[in-house]
Amino acid sequence: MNGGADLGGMMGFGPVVQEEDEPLFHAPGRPARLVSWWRLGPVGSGISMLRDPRARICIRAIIPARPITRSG
Amino acid sequence: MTSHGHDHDSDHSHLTETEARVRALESLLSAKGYIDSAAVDRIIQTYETKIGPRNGAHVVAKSWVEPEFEAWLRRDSAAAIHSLGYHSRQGEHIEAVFNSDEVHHLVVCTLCSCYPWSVLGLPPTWYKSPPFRSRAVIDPRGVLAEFGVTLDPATRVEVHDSTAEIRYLVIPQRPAGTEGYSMEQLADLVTRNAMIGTGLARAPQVAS
Repeated sequence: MNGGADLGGMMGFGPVVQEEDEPLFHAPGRPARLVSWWRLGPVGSGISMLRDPRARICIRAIIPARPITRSG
Repeated sequence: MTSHGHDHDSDHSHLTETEARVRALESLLSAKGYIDSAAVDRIIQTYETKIGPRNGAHVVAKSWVEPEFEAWLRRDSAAAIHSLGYHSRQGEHIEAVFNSDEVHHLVVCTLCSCYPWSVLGLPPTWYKSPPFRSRAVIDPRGVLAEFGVTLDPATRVEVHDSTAEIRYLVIPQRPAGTEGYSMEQLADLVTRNAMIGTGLARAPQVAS
């Protein structure tokens, strides 16, 4: 699968880079992002039910692609 | 010129596109009453202090010393893990996969960053990065080499692609020379990477 979100099979990104003593949160916005994802779990589940059941769905791959801010 | 190839003459924001999106999303969720600051603080604190790779190390060490628990973990991973109090927030299934001399398991999420949060905490940045996600399936031995792991050529590598519905916990092989170790001592040998498959359990002489 070489879709826009699925990177399986795509090449050319270089070696895997590990961080020494990686912080739990890299930026002040990260905790908010975590919580947003956490609370939106049921929304994501609803989205996945609408998709082809054979498709592999990853909630966080969907949310950024469909900004929820536009619906409010 | 921006990183995505065109000028933003009137854009003086110091926020990146992602940061701006996060703020907009958080503002909207707050305005609609879906999140409150106290709940946010509690969840962040939980991930800072309670949920992390120690949970997974507990599962692994228990499976090493208690054959009945290991059998349960093989038979019904989710129930065995839940019995220790490690519950997923979204209700996704979790499956333990056991390394052996014959097979080594490696976990990835080629779509984004699906990860067994309840037992490993938050995923490391490299787990979410395109280099790992793109090559874990097509070149697992090459990826493992970048983590300093070289397997016996006879050992088969199985790569598990996580989804929103199913997550994986790798049960590494118990290191030699750990007979008589307590569960706590064994858990100290179990690294986060060993439970993703990009590492092995530490040898006892280098345990801290």
